[in-house]
Amino acid sequence: MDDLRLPPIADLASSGATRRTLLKAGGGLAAAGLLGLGGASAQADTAVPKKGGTLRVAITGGTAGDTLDAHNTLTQPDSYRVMAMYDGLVSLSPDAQVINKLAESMECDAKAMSWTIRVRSDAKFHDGRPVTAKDVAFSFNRISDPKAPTVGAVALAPLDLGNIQYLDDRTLRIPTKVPYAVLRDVISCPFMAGIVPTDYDPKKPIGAGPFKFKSMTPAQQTEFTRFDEYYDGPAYLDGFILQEQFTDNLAAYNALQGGQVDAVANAPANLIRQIKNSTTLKALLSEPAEITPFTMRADKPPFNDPNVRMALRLMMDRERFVKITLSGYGTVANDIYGQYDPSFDSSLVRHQDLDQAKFLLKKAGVDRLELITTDMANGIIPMAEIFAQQAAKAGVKVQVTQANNDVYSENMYSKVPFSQDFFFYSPIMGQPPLSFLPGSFLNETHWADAEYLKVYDEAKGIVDFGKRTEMIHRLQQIEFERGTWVVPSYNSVVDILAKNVMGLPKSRTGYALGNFSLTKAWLA
Amino acid sequence: MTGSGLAAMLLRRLLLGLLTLLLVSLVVFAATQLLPGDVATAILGRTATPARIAALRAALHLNHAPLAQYGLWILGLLHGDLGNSLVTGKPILSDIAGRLYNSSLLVIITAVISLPIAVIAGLAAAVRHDRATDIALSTVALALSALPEFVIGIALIIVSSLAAPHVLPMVSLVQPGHSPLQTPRVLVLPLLTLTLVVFPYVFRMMRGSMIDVLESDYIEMARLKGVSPHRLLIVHALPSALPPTIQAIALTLAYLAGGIVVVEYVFGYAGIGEGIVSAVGTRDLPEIQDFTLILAAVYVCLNIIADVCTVLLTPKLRTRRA
Repeated sequence: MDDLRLPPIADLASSGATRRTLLKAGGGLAAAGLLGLGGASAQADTAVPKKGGTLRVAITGGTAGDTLDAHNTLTQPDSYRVMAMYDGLVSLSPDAQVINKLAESMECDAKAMSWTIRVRSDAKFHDGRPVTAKDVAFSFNRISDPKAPTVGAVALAPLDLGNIQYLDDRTLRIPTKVPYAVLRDVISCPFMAGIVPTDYDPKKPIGAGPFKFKSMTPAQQTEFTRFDEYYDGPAYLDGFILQEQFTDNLAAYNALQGGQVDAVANAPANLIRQIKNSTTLKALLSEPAEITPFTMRADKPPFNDPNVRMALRLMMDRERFVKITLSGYGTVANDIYGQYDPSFDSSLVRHQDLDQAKFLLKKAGVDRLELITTDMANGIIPMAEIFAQQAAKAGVKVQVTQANNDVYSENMYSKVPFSQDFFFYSPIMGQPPLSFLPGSFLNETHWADAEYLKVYDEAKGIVDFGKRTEMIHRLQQIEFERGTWVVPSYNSVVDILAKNVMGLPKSRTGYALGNFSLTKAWLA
Repeated sequence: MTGSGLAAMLLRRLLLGLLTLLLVSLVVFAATQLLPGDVATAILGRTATPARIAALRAALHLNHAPLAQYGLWILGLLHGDLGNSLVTGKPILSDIAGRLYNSSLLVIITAVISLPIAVIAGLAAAVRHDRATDIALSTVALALSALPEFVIGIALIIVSSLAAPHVLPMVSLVQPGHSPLQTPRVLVLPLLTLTLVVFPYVFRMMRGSMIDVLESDYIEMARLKGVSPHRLLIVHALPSALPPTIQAIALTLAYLAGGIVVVEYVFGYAGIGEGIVSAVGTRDLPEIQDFTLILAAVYVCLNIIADVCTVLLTPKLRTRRA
């Protein structure tokens, strides 16, 4: 039970738990309430980084269809490969803010009717060529190719890519079809909008990221080497290997114990307890970052009735949910996301109200639901079971049906009325292009709320931060009132590392290994 | 059976074997048609919008009728072309070669280690019929034969991780393009698992048939004539006791070719078995077909070899007029 009382973001297994790190952990707990305060604390690695060595990272979820394509990632290993090889114009920093990467500057005009983007002069592709404005235009066109649109196409749809002006070799101006002020937010997703050269061939992948591709055997392993001319400071590591031939996280953990790999990315939280007294392993715990929403199809009964969606949100005992399903490694959420976004509305708080939930469910005549899910992310199945337990108290019997992963993603995903999903951190305006706009690839709840879409359209065109924040608050208010997700918690994400893996920061994004900050990693 | 008789039998068995393989490929094909989804939805997963699925299906020639796809595959096979993987687009031959090598290593080493042990233990138990050695060995064998291979594998993982962590790897990682022999440590636990799985069948068959033979009249006669115990056992009894054991060994080896699927999965060993699991996951039809066909071919070949050995070792069959 001790675990439950620990601050959720404390890095329990960090070897040198100095007074400073403990204080920072405490500060972080406060920050979970006062969002936006307190940056992500780095691990207290005081030693001087050592150069060299190859980091072997175990990761599950790879398939024979895995790809190196910059814009068509599918599995978890795909996303991390892309994060290593390709940089975008902007990205999320470990503390979940949108920062410049390949962009030296990226600004829109006062009416948000065009974006002027200037690429860094020192940015190079892996073959030594400089990154140019033409490469940016090519990449955006590739993402939005009407014949083969990629995940990022919806986010780039407002851009008028047919009328790009080139101001010089590394500066371009992209007009927009409608006011579009949030381009930086929507392309900050790290595996959606990497910049690739104009002669890009995914079979011989070249990007401007910190690591060069060496070899790949799908679902077995991928090798990368350091890119010495990386503009943002080359890595200490000579390279890294993604080991993917593990049947599950436990097998990966076994390999870590046996010294066959140096890290297990996205490990189950219950492993933290197992390695508490380990002399060879430690845990890297992210701040509460990932969301695992229960998804309700707004176009299918009974969830087309907003009262039913509200009832399921009201019946939840969120604190208990966090304690049990996350072993305390997370914080309560209130059915909205984007908790580290400067525009986040922290006044929206959901309180449990069983009577009201019972009343609404009775009114709608709902006493039985089927939750069809699959083991898609750590802890998903226990979450479904706890949800069912809590729902029973509100008088609705939720039957949890667990499908095989393949069968689920091919035949059930976005088709069944009631399910679950998982997302890592995204700025608020970045999530709807993935999940809630017409044409979004991951629009599993088929929500098409006219007012919501209107408010989103308005918000995306507002340049002034204060005014846009007001509009974003309205957006969140709508999601809070009648959205299609139940988001009970922000989950910390766990990586298990060998003790000699140093330098990885604590992150707020949920991407493994400290926002996949492999340029900062080194082996002691 | 004369030499030509044996050849005729071989030819007949080979033809029957080919027919079996054809039937197997048809059954596997029919089974894959029953799987939900196809390779296009498997590749695209959650990003499978109808437009993307249609484009990919066209690119992979999945628009042909199922039987036409099957026909194309068989035709290629007759030309010695295993085809390309639908998922990676690479020739399946290159993928299969490495996996086949890895799997055969496991099977062959297992056979070399476990079969002599099982045969000798079976002999020992038969000679000391109903005494302590026999009871001990038989009990162990009975217990082992009751355990499925994944239970034995996982038990070994647990035991080795508790008793001697860091000595034996619990996951058998093989670098693509490298032989497992370069890191022999990764072979230890899978080999031990397979050895324990194989041991009881061969042991019990050897023991049982040897006991039968030792109790037969001609052995009694030889014993009365004063043949030395060793000579009695090796020269007189063993040849009669071996044929049923050879059948058992063949079945065991054939089982190994298939049972290895589970063991490879437990240890994450990149062999044929793991390849099949992965191919089914991605609905990679030609790859599933090729993999299963290879396993079926191994099965058929082993059975033919066992039959030939049995014929050669059994005077009645050997001298029978064809």
